[in-house]
Amino acid sequence: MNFRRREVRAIESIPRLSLVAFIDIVLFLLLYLMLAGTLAPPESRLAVGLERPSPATGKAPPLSPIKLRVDRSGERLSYHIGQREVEGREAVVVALTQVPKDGGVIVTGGEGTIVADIAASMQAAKDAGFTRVSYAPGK
Amino acid sequence: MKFNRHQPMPEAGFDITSMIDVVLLLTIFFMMSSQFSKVVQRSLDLPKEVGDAADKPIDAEVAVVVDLEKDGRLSVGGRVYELDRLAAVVAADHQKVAATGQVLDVVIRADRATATTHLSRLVSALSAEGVTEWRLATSGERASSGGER
Repeated sequence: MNFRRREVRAIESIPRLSLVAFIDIVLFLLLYLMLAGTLAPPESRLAVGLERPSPATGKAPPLSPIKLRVDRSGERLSYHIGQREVEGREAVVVALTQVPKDGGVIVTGGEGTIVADIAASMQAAKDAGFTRVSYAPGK
Repeated sequence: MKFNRHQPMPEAGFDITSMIDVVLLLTIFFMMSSQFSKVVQRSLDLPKEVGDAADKPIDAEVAVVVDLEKDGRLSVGGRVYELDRLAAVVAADHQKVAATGQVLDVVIRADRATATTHLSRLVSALSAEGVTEWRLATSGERASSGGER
């Protein structure tokens, strides 16, 4: 009797799962998800407060905030710091660097301005060293 | 003597068990993180500004991310809201987070070409509900000299 041969045949008949296709799919998924994840760009943020009327108290008012207004005329942007007109964003940063920063800065947007203009003004204030930047919604 | 000449030689190979473990772990990680980024981020052309130097990442537990599109449409987590409804939802979140002693982090992701009037309407409505601090999302890259066009 030949028992050995029958035993070998029994082992060979066990179905074995091929890992090749499985690994292919997993690696494809991995590559896809890695690329898809990289496509989501990192973002940054500008911290903003909303201008609120100061409550009427008996105390002396704190240092008044600087008012920065941006206006758009077609493709041209113009900035006003208080009553003074400033030409160009770099000039705004320079001008804001020279003023006291304790009162913060309030940004407003004129007629026809877009979010990019407001963001540029806020960024200019941050670049000049202001930590308190507020936004006053237009009427 | 009788030798078994047809006995196959054992194949030289390497153990792929650990590799499969690592690959599956990475796959699950990327699947999860991609899902999160899909929930938080919507494809918007954000203002091209660097942002705050002291910017902190968004903590999803205490944050609400409001998307403001060019046409003034508002959405949170991909769901579109009317302004009044959105303000009420944010106010509810604001109170819920305040009850835990924390402050709700409101992040506004506005398309850079959105008219300022839409942004003003949104922040005024939020202000009426007691939310006066927010953050404006930017792309994190520096705009060209002289501001954006």
